[in-house]
Amino acid sequence: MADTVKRAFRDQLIERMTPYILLFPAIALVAAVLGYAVVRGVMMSFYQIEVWEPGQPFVGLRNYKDLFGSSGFRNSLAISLIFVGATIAIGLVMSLVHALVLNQIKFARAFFRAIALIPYLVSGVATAVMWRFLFTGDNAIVTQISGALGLSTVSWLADPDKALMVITMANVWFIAPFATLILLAGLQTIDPELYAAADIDGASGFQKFIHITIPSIIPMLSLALMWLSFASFNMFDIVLPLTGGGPGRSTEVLAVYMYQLAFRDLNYSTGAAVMIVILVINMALSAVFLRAAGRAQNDK
Amino acid sequence: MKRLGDFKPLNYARTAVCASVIFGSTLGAFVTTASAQDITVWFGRENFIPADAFETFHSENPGITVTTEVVRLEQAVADTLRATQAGRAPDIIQVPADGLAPLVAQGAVRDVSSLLEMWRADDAASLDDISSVGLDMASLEGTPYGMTLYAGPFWYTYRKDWLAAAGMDAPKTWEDVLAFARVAKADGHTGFAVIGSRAHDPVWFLSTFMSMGGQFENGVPQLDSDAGHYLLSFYQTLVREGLTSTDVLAWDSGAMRTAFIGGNAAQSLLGDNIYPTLNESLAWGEQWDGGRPPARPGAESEARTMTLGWPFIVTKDAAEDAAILKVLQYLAKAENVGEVSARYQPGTVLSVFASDEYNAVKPWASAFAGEFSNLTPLPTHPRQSQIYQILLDSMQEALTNPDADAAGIAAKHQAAINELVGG
Amino acid sequence: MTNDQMSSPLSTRVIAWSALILLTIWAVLPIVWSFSASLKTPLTLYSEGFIPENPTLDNYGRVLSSDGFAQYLANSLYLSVTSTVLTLFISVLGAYGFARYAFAWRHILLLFILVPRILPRASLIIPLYDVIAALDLLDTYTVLIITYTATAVPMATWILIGFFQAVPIELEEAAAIDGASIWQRIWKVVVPISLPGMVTAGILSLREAWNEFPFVLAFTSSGDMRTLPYQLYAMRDNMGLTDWPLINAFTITTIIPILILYLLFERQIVSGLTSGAVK
Repeated sequence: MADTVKRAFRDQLIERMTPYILLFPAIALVAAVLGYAVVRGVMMSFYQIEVWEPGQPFVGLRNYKDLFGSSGFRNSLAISLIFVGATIAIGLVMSLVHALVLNQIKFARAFFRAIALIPYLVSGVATAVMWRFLFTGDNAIVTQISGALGLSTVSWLADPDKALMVITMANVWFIAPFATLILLAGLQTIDPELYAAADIDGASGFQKFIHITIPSIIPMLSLALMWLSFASFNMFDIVLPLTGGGPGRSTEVLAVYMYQLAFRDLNYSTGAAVMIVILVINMALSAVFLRAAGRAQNDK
Repeated sequence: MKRLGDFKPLNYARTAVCASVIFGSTLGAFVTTASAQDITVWFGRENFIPADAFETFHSENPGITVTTEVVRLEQAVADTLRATQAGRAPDIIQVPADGLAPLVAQGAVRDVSSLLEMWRADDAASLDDISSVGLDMASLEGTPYGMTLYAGPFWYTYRKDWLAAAGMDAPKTWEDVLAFARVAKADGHTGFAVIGSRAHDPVWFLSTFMSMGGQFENGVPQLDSDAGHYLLSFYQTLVREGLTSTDVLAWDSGAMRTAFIGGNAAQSLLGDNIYPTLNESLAWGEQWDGGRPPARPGAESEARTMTLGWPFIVTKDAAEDAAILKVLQYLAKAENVGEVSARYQPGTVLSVFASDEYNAVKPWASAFAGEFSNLTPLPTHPRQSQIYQILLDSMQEALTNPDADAAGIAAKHQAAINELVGG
Repeated sequence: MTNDQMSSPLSTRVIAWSALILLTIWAVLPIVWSFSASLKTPLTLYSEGFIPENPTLDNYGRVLSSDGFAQYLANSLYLSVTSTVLTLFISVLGAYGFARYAFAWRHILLLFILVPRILPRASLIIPLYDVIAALDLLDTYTVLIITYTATAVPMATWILIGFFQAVPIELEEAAAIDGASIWQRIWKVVVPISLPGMVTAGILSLREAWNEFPFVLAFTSSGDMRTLPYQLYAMRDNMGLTDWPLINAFTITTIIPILILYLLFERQIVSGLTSGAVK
């Protein structure tokens, strides 16, 4: 008797513990690596941890104060905002158009869809190398084209404004395909009946796009926006090998600035403060996108 | 949803795990070896490792196992500091000589005076065979921390054939360089190939600075000086008159060398290590020649030829002196330095310079021998990496604003440097 | 599929196709140009157009026979495969837990899994460096496998949750009646049915590890530990001259393995990603 009760109790306990046991490895690993990193990063940013300075005194918010007072950081912040803003604008238009036409065509659709995602598979370093090659040397392909059009033949990587354009375009090339895929997923869920009904009402293609397509993919749009903005704010793999932050400091985005601060100047604590700034910006952006998406959904 | 036959992921996963464990342990065997006397040496470049790769060393010293790793010169100082803090520094590191000050300031390296005494007692001849610059570039304020076996300057290198065609003499001052650059430009060439990007430490920039009489105070470059103003306005002139590439801000050392070796540029500052490659494309003595960098007009007496060095430095917690000495002596052996310097950077071992083999591979070596005895090491400062970034800022500002006031640019960046080292 | 494409006028189709062709060219241009350069010699690098007149595979031979290449390739393969296997194992358990149970804190835990995606990977280096050094794990495969797995688990879990939720609960109940334990139900029932999800999650983890750069840059120092992307980044320093044909051949070499995998499983990956994203 007691045995069965005991067993029943044990079974119930196991049953209740099961989800936690299943989740434990994933949660523990993420907590140990990523969670720890965030907590430790926040803590580091309140101390002065520099190879050049003895000890590790608590300095409160001084690292942040130094950061916002330094022209290098403000420059990087501005460059990052331009870089991310331009990537989002260009990347969203391109991926939306790409997704729309991929959704539209019937001929060789799988083929074109397969090609669309290829840049996503390439590593950031390889992307940087290939883009560097497009713009390097007297006879680089882009320089030739721009020369043929009667424009300047100065390498784009030698011009501060154009170098920023180059890293932005390379970034769009690298990260927009995934946004295309997200949007394509959204488009495929739209009920064809909606379009049929609009046709009966005599709606134009543009009207259908505005009143049916866009509202139907709002969640996917906000997801795509989040992807584009996070991936750009965090972008490091492309910028460091492509321009190293130059010419001047015209392409020194926050992630590169942070890396240089921590690993070239060996000022870990201020580097950690930059990390926290990036994290806060990313969280704020995701809140904005999610709220905007939620509001658009409610309005519908 | 399509089913793929009788796919059993668990079995696959099991196989993959087993395979990776086996594979992993063999891979691991490459990197981890342990023995009683285990010495780890970080080389700054693959090319600095002698072809013998410690084979004779291991047969002669069965009790010592040397592990070599390559840590790029660019990150060797930072990696050493990080490794030291983590208590896992190697025994011997190869760093750029100008990276010594940060290592000393952080107490990451060891005074090797007693080790050198042991060397002298053991084999004075081999120690005396090393040029004095070898010890100088591994010392700070008189304290030795290791030994420099490889050091090389940037030689001013020019197209001898084009110069002769223009009826000009070899440039003695940077004004002569500009004059030749103008002629070359008129012929459709790049007058003077120069690095304008941030891809490297500003060592070419500083080499030019020192040739112009630029001075350092306690390792801090004095950019806001006549030499510094002249240097920045020299870079500005190159851009303003189109004497260098319009892409200069994107040019790294590879682009600069390619321009000269590819026959597009009339002049450049090239490392001694590039000469063998150069000589494959252009003939020394006929098409090209080189020498010490020119001087600033009126400051000829202050001109100095800068050299970089890549010393082997002994770390604080390295193995005992006796074993370290054996490794350093092995690296300093004339046959090893000769082998490396014949294909890569010049060595500091004097007998190598005189050897027939070396002169056969580098026929210009004897012509440069005199200059080699008169080199000045690049000074070093604990905040070197940050100072270099400011110097790069000043260089790129001059290149971007060829019409700006050079003295103003110099003053602005000097202030930034002074604030950094003072604060 | 929308049914208005049946009736779409010619002009719309022309615009759609022009846009598609432009975007497709945009997607492949850098790779094609790099591949074309990899078949040239330094002399013909710029003088010839997209199709080299005398294509040569010499550059690939030079890449494959270059110092340390076998080691870098072995490192990349080993790290990618190991971390992917681990990621899948951990993510299957986690995703099953999320998909099948409604327990306290469920939403917070899910958030906890997803939020780390927004962390800049390069920034993790700074706080992690100390602890890794303290554990004496710098310059080891272990640290890379752990960090690669930890960064891949959230996404893999996310993808698998969608697939596992789609598995009819009745199938599991049937198996449970036959005496299958939860462990058996997961691996013998749920996972085989969710194979496209496994393929998607697996290839994406593989892609992350294969292409990873900041961690290997910061946590390793010896040449023996380098992976292909790191070597691609570092190879410029060791060159006297910039040998673009060689660099391009190296670049293409790093892309080919993952590209082949992708093309083999393209259908599963795209449908896996799209259904994962929708749910």
